[in-house]
Amino acid sequence: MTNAPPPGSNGPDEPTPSWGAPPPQPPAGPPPGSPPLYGQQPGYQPPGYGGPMGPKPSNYLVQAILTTLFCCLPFGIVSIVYAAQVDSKYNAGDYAGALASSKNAKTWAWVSFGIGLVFILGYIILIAISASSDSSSSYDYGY
Amino acid sequence: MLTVEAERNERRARLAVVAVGVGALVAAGVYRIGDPNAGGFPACPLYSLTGWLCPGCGTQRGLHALAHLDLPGALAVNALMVLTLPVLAYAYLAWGSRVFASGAVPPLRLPARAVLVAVLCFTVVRNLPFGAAFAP
Repeated sequence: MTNAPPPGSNGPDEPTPSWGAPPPQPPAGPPPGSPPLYGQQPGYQPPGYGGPMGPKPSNYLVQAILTTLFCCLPFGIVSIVYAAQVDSKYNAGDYAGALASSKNAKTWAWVSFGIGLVFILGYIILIAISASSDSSSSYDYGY
Repeated sequence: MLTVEAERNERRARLAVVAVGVGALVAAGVYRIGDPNAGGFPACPLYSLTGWLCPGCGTQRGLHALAHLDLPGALAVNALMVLTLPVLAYAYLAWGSRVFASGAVPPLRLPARAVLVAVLCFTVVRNLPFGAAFAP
């Protein structure tokens, strides 16, 4: 009864510290507990300060191995390097760094896959052209 | 709104699992029928340009050997690829179970740094004179 809020004070403009000891937030950061807006990454603390660590981002290691060993182009190794960075940075508490490495690992896996795909498709097209232009040469392999 | 998007993502994930499985089967069929030792398959562009063996060199011959149940032959051309296949198969199982059966198979936890070291050592050694056992 007495601790009912007075009328007019129901606009919580200030973030109320709802938990015990929040970590020091950057000044322009969102209030604690709010979902990350504008594409901000949630782990915007310097590493090792117990900032909000999300779940470990994917390191895309399987994709990196696939493109390295099955695409015949060594760009997949770049992806494996970033995959290893995801693990080491996450374990060191650098969540933002781990997210960035995860993004790079994904990008390079796709780059490697794309280049391999372009190469294979180009090869097939070349074979098809040469087979249709002269049927006597270079297409009598063991099928 | 959210559920529609989640549903679409789930449908995409299921499609991706099926597509990868079908792709693997098609690849197995291609290397069962065709023979990369006889030519007609794309050669590694890095090898064509530089003469260096990349970690994937010999993979097509290795897959051809495996498609004919010739494990020693596959190990002889690309041992790392052969050793990786069970790992990849498990990763595929875990992925499929996560998408279709909400995670009956626990996901793979591979030490990425160890993989990196293995791939780099394999690449260097197979290009050296004494590493002929690892070269195709």
